[in-house]
Amino acid sequence: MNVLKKASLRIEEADLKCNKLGCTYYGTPQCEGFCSKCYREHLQVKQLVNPTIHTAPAQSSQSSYKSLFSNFERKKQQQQQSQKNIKLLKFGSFRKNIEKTDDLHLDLMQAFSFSDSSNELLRLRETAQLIFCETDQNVETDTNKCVHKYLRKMYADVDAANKFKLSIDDLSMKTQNFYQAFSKHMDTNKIYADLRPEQKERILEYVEKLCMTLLHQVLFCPLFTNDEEMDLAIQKRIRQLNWVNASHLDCHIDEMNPSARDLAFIAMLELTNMDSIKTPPDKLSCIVKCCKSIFKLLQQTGGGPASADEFLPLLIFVVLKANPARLKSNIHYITRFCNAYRLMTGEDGYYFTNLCCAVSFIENLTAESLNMPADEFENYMNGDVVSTSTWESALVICENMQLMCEHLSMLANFNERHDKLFNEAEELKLQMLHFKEEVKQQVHDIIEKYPLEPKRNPRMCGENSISDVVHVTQTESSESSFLFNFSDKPSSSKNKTEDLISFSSPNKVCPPTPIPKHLQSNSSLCSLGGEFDLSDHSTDNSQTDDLISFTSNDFSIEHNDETVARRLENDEAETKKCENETAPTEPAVKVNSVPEYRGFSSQGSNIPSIPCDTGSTLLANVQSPHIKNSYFPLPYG
Amino acid sequence: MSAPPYSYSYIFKYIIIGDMGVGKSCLLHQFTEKKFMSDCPHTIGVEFGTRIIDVCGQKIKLQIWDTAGQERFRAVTRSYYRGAAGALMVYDTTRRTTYNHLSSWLTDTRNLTNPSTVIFLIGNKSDLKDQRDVAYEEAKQFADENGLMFVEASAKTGDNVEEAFVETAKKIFQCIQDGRLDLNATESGVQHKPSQPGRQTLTDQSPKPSCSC
Ligand SMILES: Nc1nc2c(ncn2[C@@H]2O[C@H](COP(=O)(O)OP(=O)(O)OP(=O)(O)O)[C@@H](O)[C@H]2O)c(=O)[nH]1
Ligand SMILES: [Mg+2]
Ligand SMILES: [Zn+2]
Repeated sequence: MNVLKKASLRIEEADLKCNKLGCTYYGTPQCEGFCSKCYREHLQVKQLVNPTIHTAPAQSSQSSYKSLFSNFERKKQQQQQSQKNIKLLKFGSFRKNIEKTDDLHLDLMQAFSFSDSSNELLRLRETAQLIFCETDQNVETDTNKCVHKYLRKMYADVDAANKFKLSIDDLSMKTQNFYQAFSKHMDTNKIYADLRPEQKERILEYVEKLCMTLLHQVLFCPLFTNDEEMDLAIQKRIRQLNWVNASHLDCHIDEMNPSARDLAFIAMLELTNMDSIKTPPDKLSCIVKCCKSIFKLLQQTGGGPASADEFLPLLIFVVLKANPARLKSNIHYITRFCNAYRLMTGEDGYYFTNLCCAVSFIENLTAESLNMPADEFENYMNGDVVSTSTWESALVICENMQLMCEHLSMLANFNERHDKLFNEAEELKLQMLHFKEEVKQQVHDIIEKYPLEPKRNPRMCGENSISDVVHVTQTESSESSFLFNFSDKPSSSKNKTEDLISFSSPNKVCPPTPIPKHLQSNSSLCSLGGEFDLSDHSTDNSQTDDLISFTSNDFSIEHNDETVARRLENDEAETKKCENETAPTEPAVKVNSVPEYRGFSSQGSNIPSIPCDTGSTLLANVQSPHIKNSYFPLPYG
Repeated sequence: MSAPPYSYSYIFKYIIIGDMGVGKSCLLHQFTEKKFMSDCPHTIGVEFGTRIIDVCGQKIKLQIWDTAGQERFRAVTRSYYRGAAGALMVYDTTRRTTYNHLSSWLTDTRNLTNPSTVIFLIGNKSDLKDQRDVAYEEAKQFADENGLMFVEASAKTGDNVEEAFVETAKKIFQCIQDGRLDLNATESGVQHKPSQPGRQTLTDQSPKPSCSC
């Protein structure tokens, strides 16, 4: 038995060949060790003998498996030239034109609207365009005609099969016959006469993919077969064999080596992917990609060219760990509906046969095939003994590492953003301070540059019936600065003081009723920040206008921080204003308080930003003793 | 060897989704085999299970796809959302992160399934009471806000497992009867048994190809 075990895991190409003597195609356990061509002949003979029984492939995988492997023994003796088979892995002339396509023709999409209008069909249509742009229009038309004819027949047959009037093998046979007939049709019909062989091959492949994309829904794992049960059975079996690890299978994979793990993982992923793909050729290419990844892994571990007899154990390991969905259905679907020539030769056929062997091995795996005592095997199978597989742990560790890395990079990202935010806040603070200084400086400069002239605007006096608090104070400020500037000229000083009195007296009466127009324009100045709408400013106040336009021009250069800075200014200004506000009430009597206006004049340019608050909130405080107190102790008070 | 005659009138396709280790495979196993798998290997890609249940006097076959929770399998598992009539979205009541990821699972589900797909939220491992990390009320509110059905279940004790699967089927069946779910739509995830007239019989379609044949 041990010999058999070795034999079963070490397969040479000859062992994979068809059961029928002299046939050089690959055989599969599903076809009782025959290639699909010989298997069909075999079936036909069988049906002649007993026509009522539809023999399903893989009905007795046990016997087919045995026949396949006993087959190698026989062939080993027969075929002396098997030495040359050692190099069987260096395939030279594989078909290279397996495009990664899956898909169809828009005409057909509309005609057969029940099938998925997936992008598989759209991509297939692109393929069709590529193929038929080089050929005569008639080629495409004729090809479509053949496809339609086949599809129509097939739909009727599927219906019959649903009523158990036909078997899946009948459908398979009809499909294979169609492929052959179409191939022959291309060789004989003069429409196709100008085509090169590779063009014909591409058309044939396109036809196969198109038909199978459309029929996948009804031919894959059909309800009238027991494919689904078999899928569930092998899925359960593989789950039970979860404890089997690489060392049980005599294959060596370094599970802790990331690149080896990745290759094994890619192999599993490709195999897992097979189920969600619709056409047999594309499913086959998943198998091929899976196997190639395994070969790479073998090369890496072995440090040289991989040998075929190390391949199967590793493939078995991959199948066991991946537990691909609907494994049997996929194998059956490929066996039945893939163009048979594809499976009989070449890379596709070789790898597919290997996969079938791996599945057979798993289905028939016993204690002996793993070289372990029967009771130990039983314990594992019953779940009495649990083995922690390194592979499993590696996978979990991998996922968790990935999660951890994700979190770490997220943390790093947060950290970075926090730092950035902090720096920006600091910068903003500096800018604000700087801005404040700048504004102070500018205001100072402007006052230096444009000393307020005591030119009396007659209009201002004339229209002062509608003057408001600001207006008045503004005027006062200019008067006071005048006073300050020309304080040593008593005559004029006296005049001004009289003016002051005359202006401030109405003030005393009407401070609570400030004229809204000016207030509005000022408040808009305060709140709008960078945008200054000066249109509101009454033209009657030329001096104020001058001042405002200066300051606003200066402000408009600065950006938004201005409002903040302005607030700061406001705070200061307000406190000053508290004092100033009282000024009109008192100085009306006390002329010697004039120098007190100095403060006013130095703040003059800021006045536009002040009044909105002061007008309302400070008015209540105007008479408060606190302010008076703060006023009286002043040197001039 | 002919297959047995069809013993059901509908097939509903389900998917089970959620983070790794929340107990998706265990829930499926509990539902199909009525057993708890204590040492269940992580799912690679997808696995599936079936069971025939009785809903409103109809025999319904559930075909349930159990997907892998690991991020790296997302590409494989996404192709199974298409054409699911029901989606069971699972989180682990003892691990808050699995709950936090629900919104991204929900987005995926909404994007990849059709609008009539019934989504059922399951808070699994309700048997581990002392390890609870997500309050019932919080999850219930999440479910209500997003229009999901919700139950807390345990794959270990079997608590509420049956209910989750059956309630989903009932809702789908209701949708069929209301006409909200179009049986003939390709990706509805619902199929009549083959001999039923309601099923799209392929010959009825009598395709009229636009080309000349
Ligand atoms: N106590 C308790 N444990 C549970 C329950 N359900 C699952 N588990 C355990 O949780 C672990 C993970 O369960 P799985 O079913 O494999 O999780 P999963 O969601 O399929 O994980 P992936 O296949 O990796 O996506 C297993 O060890 C279970 O034994 C439950 O209801 N109660
Ligand atoms: Mg799982
Ligand atoms: Zn042969």
